[in-house]
Amino acid sequence: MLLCVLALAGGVVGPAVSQGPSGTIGLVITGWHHALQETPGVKAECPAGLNVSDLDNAKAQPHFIETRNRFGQPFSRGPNGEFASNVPMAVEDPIPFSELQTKVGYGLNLDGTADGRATPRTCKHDKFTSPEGVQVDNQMARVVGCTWGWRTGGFTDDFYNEEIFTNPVNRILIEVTGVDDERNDPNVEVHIYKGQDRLARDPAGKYIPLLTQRVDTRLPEYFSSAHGKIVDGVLITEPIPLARLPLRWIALTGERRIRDLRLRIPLDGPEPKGILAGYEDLKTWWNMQKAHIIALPASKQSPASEYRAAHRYADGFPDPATGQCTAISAAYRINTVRAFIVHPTTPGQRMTVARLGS
Amino acid sequence: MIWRPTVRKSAAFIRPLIALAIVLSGAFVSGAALAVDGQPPVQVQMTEEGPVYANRSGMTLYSWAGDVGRAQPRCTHARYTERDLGLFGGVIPLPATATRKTCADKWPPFIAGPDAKASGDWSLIVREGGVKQWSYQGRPLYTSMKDRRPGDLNGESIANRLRIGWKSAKAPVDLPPGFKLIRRAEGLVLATSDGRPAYIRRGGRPQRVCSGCTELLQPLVAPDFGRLAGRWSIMDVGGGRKQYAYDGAALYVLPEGMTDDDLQGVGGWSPAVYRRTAGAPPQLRIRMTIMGRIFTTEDGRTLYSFACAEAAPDQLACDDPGDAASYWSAICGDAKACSQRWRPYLASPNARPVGEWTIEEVSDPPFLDPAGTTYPPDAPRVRAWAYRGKPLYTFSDDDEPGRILGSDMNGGSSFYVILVPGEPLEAS
Repeated sequence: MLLCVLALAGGVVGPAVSQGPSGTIGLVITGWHHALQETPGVKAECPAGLNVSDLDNAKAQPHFIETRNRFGQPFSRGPNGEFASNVPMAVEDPIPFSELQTKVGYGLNLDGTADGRATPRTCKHDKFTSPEGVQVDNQMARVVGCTWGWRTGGFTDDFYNEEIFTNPVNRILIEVTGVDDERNDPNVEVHIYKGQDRLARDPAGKYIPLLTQRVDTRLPEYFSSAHGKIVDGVLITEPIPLARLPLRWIALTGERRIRDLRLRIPLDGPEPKGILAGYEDLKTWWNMQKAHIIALPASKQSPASEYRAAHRYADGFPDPATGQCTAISAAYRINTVRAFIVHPTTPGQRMTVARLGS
Repeated sequence: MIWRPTVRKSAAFIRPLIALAIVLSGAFVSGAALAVDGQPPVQVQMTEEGPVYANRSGMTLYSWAGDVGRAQPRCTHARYTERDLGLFGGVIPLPATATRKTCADKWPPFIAGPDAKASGDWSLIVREGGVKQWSYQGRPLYTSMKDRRPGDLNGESIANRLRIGWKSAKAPVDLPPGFKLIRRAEGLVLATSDGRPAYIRRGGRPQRVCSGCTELLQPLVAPDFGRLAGRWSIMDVGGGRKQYAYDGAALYVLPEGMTDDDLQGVGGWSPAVYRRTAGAPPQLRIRMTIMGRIFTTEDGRTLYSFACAEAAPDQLACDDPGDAASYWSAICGDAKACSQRWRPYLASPNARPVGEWTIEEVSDPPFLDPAGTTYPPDAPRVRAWAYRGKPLYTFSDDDEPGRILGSDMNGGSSFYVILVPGEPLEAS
C-alpha cells in the first residue's frame, strides 16, 4: 500500500529491492560498533586488563587534591588546571594504558599491503589477521579495544547506539543504484546520505524495515558516492576519498570524517550487517571524544593516554611537512535495515512525503 | 464581539490610555506603562524575544527556577565556598572564592517600597531581613548584572544546553486564539499554537482568493463569528469560509512536517512578521551546518561565545568579567594558550552595534593567572563583537569555513555556537 502511494507521488521512491534493470537497494544504519576482538575474560586480548578512568588516573597523580582545590575544578590535572580531555598533552597518566595485544582483528585491508609498510598515503603499522586469514587495518582497535566503554555493552557504545535510534542527526542512509542482480553485479553505484527521519522499533525492540527515509537535502556535505559491485550477495565498494558522516553522541552534535571509506555488506535478509572501514581524521575524531568529560568515569576512558595512543597508532594520510599521520584506520560493525530512500525534489513530492510521514 | 489585540488586563496597573495607544499602534513602545501609587514600578519593554516586563529604568526583569515552591527567595547574599559534585569528585572548593559574587550581586532583587500593594498577578514576597520583593505570577523578580541597556536580555542563556534557570518575565501579548509568536531570523513571527509559522503572499495587495495556494499551503481558517481589531482582520474568502489576515494579508501555514525549504522554488511567500528584527551587522554571515544555521565571520569561520554555570547551590553564571579564570584554563591552558586558541572577533573602528549585536571591551588574554579571575585590570583590552553582551570568538582548530571543533567542549562551562534564532536543525 505504501509503495503504491509513493509510486503515485511521481516516482520519487526507488524500489526496496532490486527489481530488474536499474534496481535500487535502500539501507538505513541502525547500529554502529567498533569491530573489536573481544573475549569474555578480556585477558586474551588485553593482558593488562581494561583501562581505568581519567578520575582514577587523577587520583593516582601526585598533588592531585592540591591541584583540584587550587583551581576549584573536579578534573583539573594540568599545571594550569587543564582538563585532560581538553588539553590532553598537559598531563600524563600515571597508570599505564592498556592496549589490544591480539594478532586477530577485524576490518578491511585499507592500504593494500600485506605487511603494513609505509606508502605515500600511509605510515608503517602492524596489521591484524582476520579470522578468514586476510591482513586488515584497524589501528583504532588498538586504541579503544581495552576500554570498557567501547566494548560490547560498554557505556559509550550503548549510549551511541541508543542515540542512533533516538536522534535523526544520526540518520545515515546507504543507497545502491543500478542493481541488475542482487547476487552478482559488477557495476553498481553506492551513495551515502544524511537522512532526516526517525527509526521505528517493534514491541520486541527490533527495527522495522521498509519504512520511508527522506534524504536531508539541507546538508549535501554529508553526501558521498562510490562505485561498487556485488559479489555472491556481498556489496563491496571502492574507496570514497572523503566521507563526512553526521554524528550525535551523548547529546552533542558533530561529525565523522572518514577518508577512503569502504563498505562490505552482505545483503541477505531485511537487516544486513556489515563492515564500514576507513581512515578516521584524528582531529575530527578527537573533537567528539574530548567533549565527553562527564562520560569518562562511566566509560572508563582516560583521554591523556587515549589521545597519545591515537596519534601513536595513526597510520593514514601523513602530514607532508612532519610525516606524522593525521588519520587512523578504523573498522566498524554496522547494522542496517532495508528502507525506502526518498529524494524529495519538488514541493509537491515533498508535501506528499511529509503527509505520509505525519 | 470585538476582540482587541492588546496587553492583557492582568497587568492591571498599566494606564489604560497608554495600553490603548499600544493597541492602536500595533506595537509595544519602550517605557509605555509606568506604575502608580504602590503598584509595581514596571513597564513593558519590547525586545527581540517579544515584550517583557522591565523596571522603571527599562531594565529587564527575570525570575529563577530555583525560587519555585520556596517560601523565601533562594537568591540571596549567601556566600558559598564549596560545591558537592557527588560521584564526580565529592565536595571541593569553588574557584576564586575570595572574589566570588553572590547571587544577589549578580541578580539584584526587584525590591518593593514600603507602600507597595499586591495586585492581580503581582504579589510581594518577604526576603530574609524583612525586605519585600516583587513577584510576578508567584515568581520573585530580579534584574541582571549582565544587562547594560534597556531592552537587553543578556540574563537569558543563549546556550541551549546550559540550563541556568533564569527567564525574563514575559509580558502577555494578546493574539487571536490559536496564535503565538515565535522567534526566527526575520524577527518575531506569527505562528499557530503548535509552532507552525504563518505565511503571507509577498508583494502588492493580498489576494482575497489565492489560486493554487491550497495545493501547498493551508489557509488559516477563522471562526464565523466576531471581529478583530488593530492589525488583525478576518477575510471572507468565498464559499462561506473565512480566513485570518494580518495587516490586510491572508494568513496560511504549511502542512505539518514541511519547512521553509519546501517553499523554495515556489516563491512569492514570506513569514508573517509581527516585529522585524534589527538584524545582524554586515561583518557577520549565516551558514548552514549540522548544528543548524549559525553565525560566522565574513570569511565563514564559526563564531562562539563562552557560557558557564557553576554547579553550586546558587547555580551562578561564571562567564562574567571577574569570574574564576579556571573555567577557561581547564579548556585551553595558560593565558597565552587560551589567547592563541580563542581569538576575539575584532570590530573595526567604524563598526556600529546593531540590535542584539554590540561592541564590547574584551580582555585579551582573558586572564593572567589561571587560578585568579578573568578581566584583570592590567590585561590588555580589545574591541570585539558581542552577542547579547557576550564577546564572540573564533577557534584556532577551525581551519576551514563551517568547521565546528570548539562547541560544547565541557558540559557546564564551554564555548557554544551562535545559532540563528528559532531554527535549530533537529529537536534536541
